[in-house]
Amino acid sequence: MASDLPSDFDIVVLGTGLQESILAAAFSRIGLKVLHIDRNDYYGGPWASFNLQGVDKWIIQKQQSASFCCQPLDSDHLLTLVKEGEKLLELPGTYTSVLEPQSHYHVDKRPEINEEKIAEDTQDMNVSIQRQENNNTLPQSASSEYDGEKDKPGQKPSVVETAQSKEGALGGGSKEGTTAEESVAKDFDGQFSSASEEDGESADTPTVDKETSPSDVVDYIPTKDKQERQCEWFADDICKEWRRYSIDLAPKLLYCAGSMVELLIVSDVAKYCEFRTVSRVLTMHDGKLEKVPCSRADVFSSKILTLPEKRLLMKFLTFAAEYEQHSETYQDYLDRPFADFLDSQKLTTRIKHFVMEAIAMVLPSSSTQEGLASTQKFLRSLGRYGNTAFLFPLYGSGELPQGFCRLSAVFGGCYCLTLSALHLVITEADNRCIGIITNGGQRINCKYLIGDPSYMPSDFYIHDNRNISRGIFVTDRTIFPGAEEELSLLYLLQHSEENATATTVLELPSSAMVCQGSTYLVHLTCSARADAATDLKPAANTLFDMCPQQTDDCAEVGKRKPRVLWSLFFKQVDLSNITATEKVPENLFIVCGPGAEIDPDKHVAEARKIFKKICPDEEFLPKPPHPDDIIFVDDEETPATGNQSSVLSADLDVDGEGVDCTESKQIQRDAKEEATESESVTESNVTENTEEGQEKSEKK
Amino acid sequence: MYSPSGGIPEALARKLNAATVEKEAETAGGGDKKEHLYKILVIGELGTGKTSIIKRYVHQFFSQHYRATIGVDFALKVLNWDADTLIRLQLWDIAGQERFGNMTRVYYKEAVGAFVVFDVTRASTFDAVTKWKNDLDSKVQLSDGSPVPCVLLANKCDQTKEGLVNNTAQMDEFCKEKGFIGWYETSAKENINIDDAARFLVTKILEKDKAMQLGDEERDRDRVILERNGPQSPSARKSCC
Repeated sequence: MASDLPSDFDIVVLGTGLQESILAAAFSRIGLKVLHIDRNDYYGGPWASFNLQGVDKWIIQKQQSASFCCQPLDSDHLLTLVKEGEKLLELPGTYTSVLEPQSHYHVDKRPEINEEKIAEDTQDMNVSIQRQENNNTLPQSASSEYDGEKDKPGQKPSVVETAQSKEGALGGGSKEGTTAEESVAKDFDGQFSSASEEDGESADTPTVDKETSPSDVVDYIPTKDKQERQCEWFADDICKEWRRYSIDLAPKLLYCAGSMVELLIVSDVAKYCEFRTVSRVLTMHDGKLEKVPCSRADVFSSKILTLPEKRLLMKFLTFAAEYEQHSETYQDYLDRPFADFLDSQKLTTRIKHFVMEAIAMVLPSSSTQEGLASTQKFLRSLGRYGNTAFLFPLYGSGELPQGFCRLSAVFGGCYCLTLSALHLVITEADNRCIGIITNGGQRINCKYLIGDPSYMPSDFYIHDNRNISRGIFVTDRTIFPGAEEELSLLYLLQHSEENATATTVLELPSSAMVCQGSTYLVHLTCSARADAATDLKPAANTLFDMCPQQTDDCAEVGKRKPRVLWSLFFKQVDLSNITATEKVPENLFIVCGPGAEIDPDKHVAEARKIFKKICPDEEFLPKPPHPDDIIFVDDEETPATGNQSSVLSADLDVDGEGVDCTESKQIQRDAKEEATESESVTESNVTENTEEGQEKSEKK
Repeated sequence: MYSPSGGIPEALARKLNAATVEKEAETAGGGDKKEHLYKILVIGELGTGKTSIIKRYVHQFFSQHYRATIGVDFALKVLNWDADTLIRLQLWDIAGQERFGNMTRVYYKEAVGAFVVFDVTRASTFDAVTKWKNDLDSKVQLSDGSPVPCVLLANKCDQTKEGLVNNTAQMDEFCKEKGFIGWYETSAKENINIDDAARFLVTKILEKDKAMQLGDEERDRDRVILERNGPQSPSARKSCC
């Protein structure tokens, strides 16, 4: 099908990550011909979200590391594609942006049960179990463990034993396990040391901690029944609902008053997404979780603050919201630690803790400048959509790039997955990139090329070699029970001897459309130091029971930490701070990948910057016309063109040949004329309005 | 009074409302009507007549000239279903150039029905039907986990047919096997069976909708839709999926 791909475009975009997608949409929107491709068979690249099956597939791809394996092109054929004065520059066919992905079920496979009770589900279930069992290529996949378990019902592997036997193998593995957490920590060690030693490990590594006796067999509880919290979980319960999961590789929250929210509204991409507000911000204070009062109402109704504390906090928040106007207060502290400044404000320990670790979410070493700016951003986003400053996109952050891709496609952007560029076509005289050679051996000409670093030659950019550790858990209950199903954010600061490390914890309920029934999906993110499981171990052990025991006592379950039923760990190369080298052709732009930051606003700013470099006089993602205002004009009629042409330079071939989309003309009504929307407009009406609109914009 | 049952963002629904409801209210003579908003996908290979079918159905218009639409997500068809029911169908076309690859999830998201279209004159387009159906089922389901009701359209039936479509029994068997709720021979050019196929699909969707009013309102109440005119948290809405 890709053979009908036209070969001339204004803009070619490599990679369907967030920044690339915003740019593809922005250029399509102003009428440029955009080709947007991705080497993967899914949208989003490092920003993608997957269901559980998708995660399995992704892990296999990453482990084989030849996720995109392309045949080198025939060199004779290549020569025919290049003209005098042009040269080819080879691109990396693959790129390892994810390291050591490991997924695990932490609970047993369901033993033989009340067959008839689940009869209606069995078909579905068998499919997913079958799928699991087919995954034996994965040495550490849950399925192989199940098999071991199933085949040897008499065997009762003990994790504690495993942990001990693995302890040595762990080498310098941390042994800080303190009294209360010792056994859990050990369990965790055992489990994840076996995981991280993946290749050498045989398939029968026991992750399962307890034999299942007949008394464990409870009636099948339908998972969609939210009222009855399931107290016993089996791996099958989760894998049979694999579609209900949406697991973000790069979870992001949107500041309610941030630039992503603004862009979504202005561009109308918002119509493709729905959101939930983060309903509470939690913090760990004195070893206990607390809900942070962030709004005025919260502060006053808070039970954990004393009255003087309430006044102090309100006073500080009022100041921070408009801190620039009180420069005398913080002038002396600008480059000093934020903590020192907070001390100077005579805040109590608790308030200081709230401000630093929950509102500003900065490390103790951060400067006052940074801390105040961060506090202000938080405060400005409060109360717009909810009680906290953040929104989370339903179905996961992976919806965002796809929303922009859809907008681009609707405006004529050409999309092709599993297509990559193997070579750049560069002019010898002035080092411009005038095209790409695809893995299909097709030459595609372009005026500008945009791509994420993973598509680019490694000498085109410098990055700071940092990695991000991510852990994603499915748990059976929330870390902090509240009145309703909450969507929680926790910035967990943990102090070790040398320094403090921060882990961002995002706990999503099923109403965020990312997990099933009564489960929660938890994202843990921190900067990488070792492997992801090791990096996140302190935080994970603090909050969760990583190696749950089955129990039939629901009352007891309620008192314990949430159990991790499934986990995924991986390390992601942090490509959020890259610097282009002077080797980069001037018409080639490299965008950033996702970083450890909580929000995507930086990517909006970067995308806008690149857009403005290419099209300085064009509007960045203006509001699209209302569908009702688009008039289909027959070819014979005088075409009343909207703002589609007059883009870029005169020599630009906006009309194009290969793509049929240019035939239709569209008319756009001035977006400001909202008033007429309620009237039933006739075509002539719209045309008039449009002309008025155009006149207006011409006057500008 | 207004409560869209489809999974359509209310912001959008309200916009549509502004443009068309009043018109509708006039023709319907006012009165309290139950309203449903349903998102229906129209998928299938390039050149099978998806856009023509939509144009014919929504705009009562057919053109030999194929033209991909720019800037349009979907076409809206308003049905006065019965005395008490008004149905708005959003027919989502494949945006011109998504044809080369997979569709984005936002295209599939929260759809409650689908047409898979093939061209009876080209057997290859029929071969791709299964691929489209699988793609659909893998990307979207109703809230109860069941597949989205899907009707197969054998388009361009005014022309010479090729392949399986000549054998009704085999086509029935095929539909049963692949999980289509039915199939129709259609012609956008001659306006054959398009209204019937749509009516059939809508009937099934209504049945599903009725069976699935599961009390998801609570969860939906907290959904946030970003709108140009400031923040808002929509009041209770129901969703099909």
